[in-house]
Amino acid sequence: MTGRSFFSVFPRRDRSIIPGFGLTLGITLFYLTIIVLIPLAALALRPMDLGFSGFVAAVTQPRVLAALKLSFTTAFFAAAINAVFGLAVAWMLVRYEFPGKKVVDAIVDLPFALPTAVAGIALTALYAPNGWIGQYLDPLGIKVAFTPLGIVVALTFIGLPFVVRTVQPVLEELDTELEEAAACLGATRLETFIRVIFPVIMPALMTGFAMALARAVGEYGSVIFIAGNMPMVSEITPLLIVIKLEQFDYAGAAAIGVAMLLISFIMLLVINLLQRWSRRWAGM
Amino acid sequence: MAPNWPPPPAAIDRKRIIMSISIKSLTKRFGGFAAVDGIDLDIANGELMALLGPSGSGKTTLLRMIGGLDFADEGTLLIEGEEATVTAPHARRVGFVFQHYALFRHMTVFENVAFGLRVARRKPKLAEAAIKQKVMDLLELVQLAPLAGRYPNQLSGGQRQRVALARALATEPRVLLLDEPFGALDAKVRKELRRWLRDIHKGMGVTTVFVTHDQEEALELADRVAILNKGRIEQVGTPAEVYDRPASAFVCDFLGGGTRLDCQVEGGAALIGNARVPIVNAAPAGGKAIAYIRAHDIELADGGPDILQARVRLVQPVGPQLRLDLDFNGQVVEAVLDRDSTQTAPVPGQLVGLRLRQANVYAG
Repeated sequence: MTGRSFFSVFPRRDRSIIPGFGLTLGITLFYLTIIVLIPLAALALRPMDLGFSGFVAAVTQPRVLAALKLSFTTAFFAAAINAVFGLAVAWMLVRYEFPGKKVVDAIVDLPFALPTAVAGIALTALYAPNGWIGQYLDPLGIKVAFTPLGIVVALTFIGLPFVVRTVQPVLEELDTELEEAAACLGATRLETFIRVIFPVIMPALMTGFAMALARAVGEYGSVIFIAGNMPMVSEITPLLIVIKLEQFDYAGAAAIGVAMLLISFIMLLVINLLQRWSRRWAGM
Repeated sequence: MAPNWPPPPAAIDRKRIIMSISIKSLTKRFGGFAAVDGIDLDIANGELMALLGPSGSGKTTLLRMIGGLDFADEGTLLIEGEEATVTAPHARRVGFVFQHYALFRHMTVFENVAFGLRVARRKPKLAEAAIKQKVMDLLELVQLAPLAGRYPNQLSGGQRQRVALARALATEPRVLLLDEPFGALDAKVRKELRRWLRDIHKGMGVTTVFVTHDQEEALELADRVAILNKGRIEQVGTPAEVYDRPASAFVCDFLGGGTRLDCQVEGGAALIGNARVPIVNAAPAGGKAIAYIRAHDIELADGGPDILQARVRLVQPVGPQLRLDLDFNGQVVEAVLDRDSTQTAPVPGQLVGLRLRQANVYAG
């Protein structure tokens, strides 16, 4: 017997010198199954108790619709804000040397490290009408804490690292010769950024945006402190799910969960397709 | 091609000509280190000039200063008589071709070449039809018209370099600058591109400066070669001048000086061992010196005057040549013989007689 029969599942020409295909494939399938697929399947099966019409009725309640709309719009705005300012932070960290750069670099990761409930309490204290920042905003008629605006602030906080950390390596690898070439051809700094640099970092920026968005949609800890949690106004979907659970309405909670999952999946899919389109030059 | 480029000057009249590039005591320091150290160089209109030197000799820094990508600490730079020491790259109207092409990889070949025609500073604005015409003419010139819709990732190295050249030519530069243009390509493509660059230069007559560390490339391609060492110019001349009459030991060594042997200068000849070897350059009048003997200036000889005895260490047939490593008094001597004319090839360990036809001799 030779090694050939052992590998005969794979046609000879497909065999690769890169080791570990069988092993990593096995681990990947096993891991994804127990960590992701089985829980999601359980979630999807749960609302079956309600039947299809019951499911539709559960997720089209005005309070549920309002919560879904709030969750996705605030998450979208927070991710968009992070896309703009995260790009600026990444740009500064890559392009310039200044004292304290390492500290700034470390600060970017703080929202990862901090328990989000702590962040929520701190932000609430700051933005409450009598807080450090809130006391100046309140006379201007801007209310942050206990409004959807507060939710955006909290979601922006927790989403910051995603954009910075995905854009940073791409900016680092960007060849300065590209900018020199553009300058020799007569492009201004602004033209060089818009036409040469931005298209190259766009895919990474979209990845960071998608990750910040996904994280923000599911965020719970920081938001419940600052949001005020008024039904129909500032009650996010994850909170509504918890409320349903506390009322032992497991099927109703799972139905909302499935609705969130579907919307998130479609959004990420669209972003993924856009990203692929923005990288069409990279293929062979 | 477009008629905007001047025809190549048939005969260069050195007195009447306006210098395309005129460099006076240009200096550039990085930290305390002078990368370019007081260089003077004039490059004539329509000339194809090579900056040749080892890495760290300052050749790329000099090229980048001509292109406006680095700025001199001291000295002046004139382009077609206009002050250009500190002006921005686009104001100098130079085209720059980078070693690693620096193509915009998210743009098609067409858009890469069109980039310089679409920028806001471009005056007068070109109509879309005119841009298309011009880009396709250039792509025709670099033989890439069928690939106009491809992305750089889909091209070979040689094709990318041609796109980079077309892009640089699109803005009708007064001077074309190329940084190690063939450095990243394999030998066969490099040879093709060399010939092709020379043809394009001949056709357009645009003043061209290219940087290389490959002496063969510089000698084959350039009208004149400037050899740089440690931020200074060692010698400027036509390929034949610098090869036949190297001004310094460095130039001789860098242009394939061959074997370096200690010698004694006596009565206009170099005494190596017991052999008297004719000196070709202006050598020191007498005393101890260093002789450089090129590999093809050594021949095997059975007998006669001025013969050195050496032992064969290694015999290597390379194409039409036979390369020998010989041991002469503990020093390695390299020789190249014609394979066809060598009746019996020497074998390792054999004792042979060498005749050295000529030597370049420099003070030790």
